[in-house]
Amino acid sequence: MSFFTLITQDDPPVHSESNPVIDSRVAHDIDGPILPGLPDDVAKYCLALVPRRYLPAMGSVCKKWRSFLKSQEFITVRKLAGLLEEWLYVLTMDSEGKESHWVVLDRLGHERQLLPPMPGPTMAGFGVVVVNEKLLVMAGYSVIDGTGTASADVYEYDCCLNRLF
Amino acid sequence: MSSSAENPTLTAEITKPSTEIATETAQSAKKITLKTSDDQIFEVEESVAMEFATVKSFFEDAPSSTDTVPLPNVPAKPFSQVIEFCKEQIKFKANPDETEKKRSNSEFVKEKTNEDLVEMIPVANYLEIKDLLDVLNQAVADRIQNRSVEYVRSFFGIDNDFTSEEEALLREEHAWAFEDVDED
Repeated sequence: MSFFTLITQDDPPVHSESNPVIDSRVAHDIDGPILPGLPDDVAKYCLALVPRRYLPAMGSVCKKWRSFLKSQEFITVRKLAGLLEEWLYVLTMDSEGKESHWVVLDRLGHERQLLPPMPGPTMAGFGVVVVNEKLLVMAGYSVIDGTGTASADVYEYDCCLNRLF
Repeated sequence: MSSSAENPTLTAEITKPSTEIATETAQSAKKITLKTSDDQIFEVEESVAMEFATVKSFFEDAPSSTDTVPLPNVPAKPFSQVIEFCKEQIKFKANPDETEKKRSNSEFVKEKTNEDLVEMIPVANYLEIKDLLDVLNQAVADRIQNRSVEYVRSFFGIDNDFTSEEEALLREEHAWAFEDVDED
């Protein structure tokens, strides 16, 4: 078994075009407060107090929340509050380089979750890197019916919302 | 709003140990009249009212004012609970005991309904009571974590603005987070 280990900080922002239904409209064009009756700065602090493992659910409450949770500002608020949680992302695979999957461990070593499977055909030999708190999976090759195909795909993982783009 | 230019008289009164019984009694006679947004009149001891940074700076700007202080953003119901909190806090100013203070704070929060908490936050924010705001924010964060999305929406009265298609996608995304949610 071989594995990569990567440490990501909290919740990288993601600007993805692969899911236009949900992701293209979330910016500043949504009127109304984050929490009804509260100034946004108070509401933002309140949301930042929620532990990281619950954030994907929080991102499904409404578009305004989702937009905020994905923003750089959210990371900043959590950082200022001293609440950034470091998680360890471990890529495991079998001896033939197949059946790879990501396991996420929190800082106490508890297994938090399995990441969703990577899209597309099963890949091998790909590169992994963390850039600006984003997890990127790049290139590699896949074997379909005995024919190897090199890939130029890049996938980006949103650690906050648990979505692989 | 400057907290550095505190009125020395007021500061002295707040930090005065409770052992000075004679002065304490004299001081407790001084009340400040506050009027909420729903026209309720509250007579609050000065030491309690000075916990509200907003009210405190009102008196710093007009030290001799004896008028009723209007609180246009503060309804009576959450305000009375805020006063309850501040009365407790003052005890800890005289006798600091962090453990006891934490216990008292969590006791205060425990008795409150979700609605109470959500109503008190804007009041604590407007009156600039930092300790209370911290306690309330943490309490709200504690209550919404590990809950279903529907519960969180109803907690704050937030409308779901996702289509059912979008929701299905999102549900997939946080499926793992649903594994151990508490009952609503």
